[in-house]
Amino acid sequence: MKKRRLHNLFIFLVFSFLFLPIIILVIYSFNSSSMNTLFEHFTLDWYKNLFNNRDLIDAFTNTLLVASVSTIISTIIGTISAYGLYKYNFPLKNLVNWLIYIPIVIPEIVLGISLLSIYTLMKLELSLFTIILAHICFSIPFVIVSVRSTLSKEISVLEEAAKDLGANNYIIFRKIILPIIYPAMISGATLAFTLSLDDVVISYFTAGPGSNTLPLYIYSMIKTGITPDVNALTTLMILLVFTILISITIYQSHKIRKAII
Amino acid sequence: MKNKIFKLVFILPIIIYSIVLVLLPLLYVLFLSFLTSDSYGGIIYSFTFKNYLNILEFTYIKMFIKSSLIAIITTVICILISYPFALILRTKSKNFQNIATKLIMIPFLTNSLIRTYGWIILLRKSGVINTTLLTLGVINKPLSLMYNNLGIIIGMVYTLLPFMLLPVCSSVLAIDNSLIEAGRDLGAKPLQIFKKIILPQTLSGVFNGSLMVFIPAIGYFFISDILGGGKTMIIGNLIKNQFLSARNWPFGSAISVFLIIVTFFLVKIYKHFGGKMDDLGGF
Amino acid sequence: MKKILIRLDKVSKAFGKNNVIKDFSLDVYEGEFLTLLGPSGCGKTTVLRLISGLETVTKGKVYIDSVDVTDIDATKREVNTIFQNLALFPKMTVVENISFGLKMKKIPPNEINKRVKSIIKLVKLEGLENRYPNELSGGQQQRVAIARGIIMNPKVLLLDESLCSLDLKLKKSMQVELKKIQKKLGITFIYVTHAQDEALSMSDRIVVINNGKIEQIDSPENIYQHPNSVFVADFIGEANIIDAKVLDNKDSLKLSYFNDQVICINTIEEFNIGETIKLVIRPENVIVSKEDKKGILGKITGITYEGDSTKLSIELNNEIMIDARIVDKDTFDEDDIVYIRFSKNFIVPLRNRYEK
Repeated sequence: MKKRRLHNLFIFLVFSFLFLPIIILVIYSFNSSSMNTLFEHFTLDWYKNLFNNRDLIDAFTNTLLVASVSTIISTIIGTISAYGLYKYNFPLKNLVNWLIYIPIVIPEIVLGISLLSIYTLMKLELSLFTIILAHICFSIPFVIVSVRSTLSKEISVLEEAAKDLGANNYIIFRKIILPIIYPAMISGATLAFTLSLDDVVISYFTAGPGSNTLPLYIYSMIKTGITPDVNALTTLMILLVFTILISITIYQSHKIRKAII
Repeated sequence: MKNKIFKLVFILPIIIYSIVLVLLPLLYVLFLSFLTSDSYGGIIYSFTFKNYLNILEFTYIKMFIKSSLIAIITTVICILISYPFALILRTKSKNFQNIATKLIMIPFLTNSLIRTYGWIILLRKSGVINTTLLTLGVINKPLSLMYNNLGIIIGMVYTLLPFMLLPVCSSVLAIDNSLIEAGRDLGAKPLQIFKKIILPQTLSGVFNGSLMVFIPAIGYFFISDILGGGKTMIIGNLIKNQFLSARNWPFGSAISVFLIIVTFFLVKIYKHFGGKMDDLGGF
Repeated sequence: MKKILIRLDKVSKAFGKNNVIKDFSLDVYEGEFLTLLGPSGCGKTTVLRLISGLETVTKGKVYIDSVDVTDIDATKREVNTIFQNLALFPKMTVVENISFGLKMKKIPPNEINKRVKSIIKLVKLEGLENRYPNELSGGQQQRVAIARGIIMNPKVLLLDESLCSLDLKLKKSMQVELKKIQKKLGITFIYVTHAQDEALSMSDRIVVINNGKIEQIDSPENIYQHPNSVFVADFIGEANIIDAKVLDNKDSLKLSYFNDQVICINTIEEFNIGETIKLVIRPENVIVSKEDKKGILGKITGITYEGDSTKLSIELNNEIMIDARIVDKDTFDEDDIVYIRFSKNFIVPLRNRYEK
């Protein structure tokens, strides 16, 4: 019994560690002190302030824009590529199969500077576009890996069955393959979105003067001191994320229960 | 004809992607690393090995060792947290396991820089931890929890822990219960069960996590910048400085090439021990 | 003469350097139930896939209904396949699975409905129309797969080891049902299996395949009673195969075996005097007795009870093992000394072919 309590304590501590800084940010978003030091008294001023802070709102919308656009594009390319790599043989296949792991394993900073270098070489001006391109670059492999895990040998039998019944390649992909890989595609997209929101390093190298995203905005302020409206924004973000995640979880456990009954 | 177009649609994007966005940038960095920079940050097209010889300078070697040490300590601490965590999680219900693994991912959804900033509020001299301890009378002088190597390691462990937790948990949770029961049935003691059944099956998960923690830990310059107070440079800082402030791209490229080689070497080891590439990207 | 529906003309198939099918010629008649039988890896499934168009031939020609379809895609061939693991589309309901092929053919919806309804009745899936494959039992999944194939009114239905995943009892009842459906619709069935009991019980004709080549094509009865090679004899049913030498070939074949035994049998095939041949004797054609001292002396080393019959393993003086199948098991015990004889009308002489 004692052992079990110790176990629970350990789990609790690990989660406390993971969530501590986030909880602190949430608490301090209600703190009247502007210095983020001691908690003085409760206020909602920072939430009002937030909507007047154009730079912060811009940075935030840019971040969401980058994450959404790069997620959509990398999910589409990643999904069709996973299927393409599974189904077809082509001259560069081995090379491609090797290259797609590089963005997953090499240090982000190396990916960041290599993209910065090639942008400079191609005379691409740094902007939101270059950030989006960079995020697509590191997201695609994760989507491919996720989708590819569901493309097994049984799938090729289903393809043959559909072909046997007169389906062409497009219909096979649309009606047979897509419904099967759909969950993996969604989890790949979720991963791409998450990694994009979390990224600091690659955005740091590929962002231009007019393309502030949230991490860059915070990075520029961190030395001079961050105002609590950032905390307020973070709190709102977390609230949103939690709502989405909880509804997904409830939906899934509902489905599991249905499957059992 | 129709089939050919269909095939092209499915393979052309990935070919273009992997060549234009992956291969070319890396080849260009390799190319840059053999060039020279002028004093204004421009690039002179004269071939040299100088950048690679520069890496061997004592100050840089010392920095590499220190940076690797920080990364290794970070990795070890992450293992020491994740492994017991996963073993305990194994004993819980399926529902609990599902929710727990979901919770691990949540911090990612706020930006890692924001969370690092949260640590400043906690760790600094006038921060939450010090104030609490002072008020409680546990200490009478604030502790130096950041702007030093301790701060960097706390930040690294914090930011990278999920990358260890997820693969370790999924490998530990994947062990078939009947195997352990069979072991117990045959009279194996808990330690033997751990050594003969659990450890061998989870080693690749630990390697996977170690790779996903160690490699970023040598590059996350923003953590050493913010929580280390800029006193300790890790390799990431060095590369960042060469590209953005010192503007010596060839030298920065040479260090990057060096990091790529280290990465390939580590991946080789990972594969040698039976690790699968697809597991590295599968969270 | 029955109409030839499918003709494989000297077909070969190679995967890389591996020749799976060599110079394979076969005619399939309209309305028959033909079984391709052989050990795993013999190329029987490849033959099936060459007919369906899922593989293309390396050499030779494929005709369906006298039309050369060698270069025609699986999508457009009027044959359908029931796959080994059924390959039901997991995200589609029973009805969606069954109607998939008709939709591909752009058949009008109300006709699809009509046909789906009648086929569901035929395969007895009423009430399960909106279930997903994972909500069905093995037998029900089997029926969906069959329905999905036959609704297309194919000229030929190809079945690739389709029953092998079912348990024994279900398999038996599906065998009967499959045969019934085939008779009712008059569709030609080509069935691939490695299980000889399935082949013997369902087929009109059996094609025994070994190493990518046809060993024998015949009715189940003939294949069993008159195998034309040691391989066929051994693969189909159980067989005692013993060496013999031709002593005389005038009126009947006079043979000596086990050094000192002589027997005369009637056969249409001709053998040369002095030639060494093989004799195939089914276990049920071995007569075992304790009294009949004219037989060959042996000792019972094993008794296997098989329900309706009993198998005796008998070791002869010359250390050769012979299997015998008897109905009445009570007479014999292990270690009994017995005498055996072979019933002469059921001995099959075979030319000793050199096998690789």
